[in-house]
Amino acid sequence: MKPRTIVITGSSRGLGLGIAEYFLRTGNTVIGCSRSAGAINHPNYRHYIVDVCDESQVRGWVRQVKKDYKKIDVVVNNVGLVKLGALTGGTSLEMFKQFMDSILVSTFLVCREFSKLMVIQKFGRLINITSIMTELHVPGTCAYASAKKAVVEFSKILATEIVDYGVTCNVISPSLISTEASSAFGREWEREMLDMQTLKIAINPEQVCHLIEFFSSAKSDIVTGQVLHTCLVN
Amino acid sequence: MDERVTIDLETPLFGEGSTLDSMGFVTFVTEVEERVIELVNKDIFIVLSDIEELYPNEPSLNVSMFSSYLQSITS
Repeated sequence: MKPRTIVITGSSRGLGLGIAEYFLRTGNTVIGCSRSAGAINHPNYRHYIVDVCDESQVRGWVRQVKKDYKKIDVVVNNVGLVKLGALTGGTSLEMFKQFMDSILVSTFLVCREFSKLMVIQKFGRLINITSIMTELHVPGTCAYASAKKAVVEFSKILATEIVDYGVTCNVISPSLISTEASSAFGREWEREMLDMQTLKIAINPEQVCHLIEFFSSAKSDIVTGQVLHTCLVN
Repeated sequence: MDERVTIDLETPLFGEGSTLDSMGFVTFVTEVEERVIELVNKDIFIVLSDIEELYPNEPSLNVSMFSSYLQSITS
């Protein structure tokens, strides 16, 4: 893949950090963001502190990124809230909204602002990360899985709106990934998750990067509005 | 999107009679926003729902209405 300028949200830890490190290693320019300071020190990396759930912050940030970099090739929407949920009856409205904001609203805001730039530059790749949870219908994931599923629908609609301008929007739906967040849920939870998947091993961030690489490269020019699952569910 | 058109104050930019499609209008607004920022040296955001609120009963947004809105956010 020829070197590209890639924006990754939520790049200070977990999957986002792994994605950022991978694309730096493979010779790209990476623009990261999170609410806290960045964890990468690399000449081709710049970190912005931004809350991607906040409309005015996102607008200001995208404007600044455009000023700093002129052309953005790829945006990976990775940011999201990863924590154990409760059954619907025990989920507060506040908690439900937190999931919606951190997953759906952030994806909407970041895609909205960057897609406008990409339409004008007549090229761009928007890649949204969801989760196998959208297919599992597991009790206790009413907020998380609903928000992730909404990202799928949003991505498909956006894809139809921007397809004529050389901009694609696709979704990667990974099965269980081993990150700090998932290991915090414990071995028992991990085993139960794997039991529900056809792929019986946890994948690592680098394996997700190979899929991002595909959607970022010219090899996926004719693919838009698609969801790439890493496996089926039982 | 690359077509050159002649406009006057009554030319519809969005809605009934506009030659711009929805994406064309969004792109137009994005570019205008950028140029206005350069021109007035002020960090402004064009918010489409604010324009709609200003003219709730109008079937279209014309150049005159759009420029009044721009003046209101830059003054």
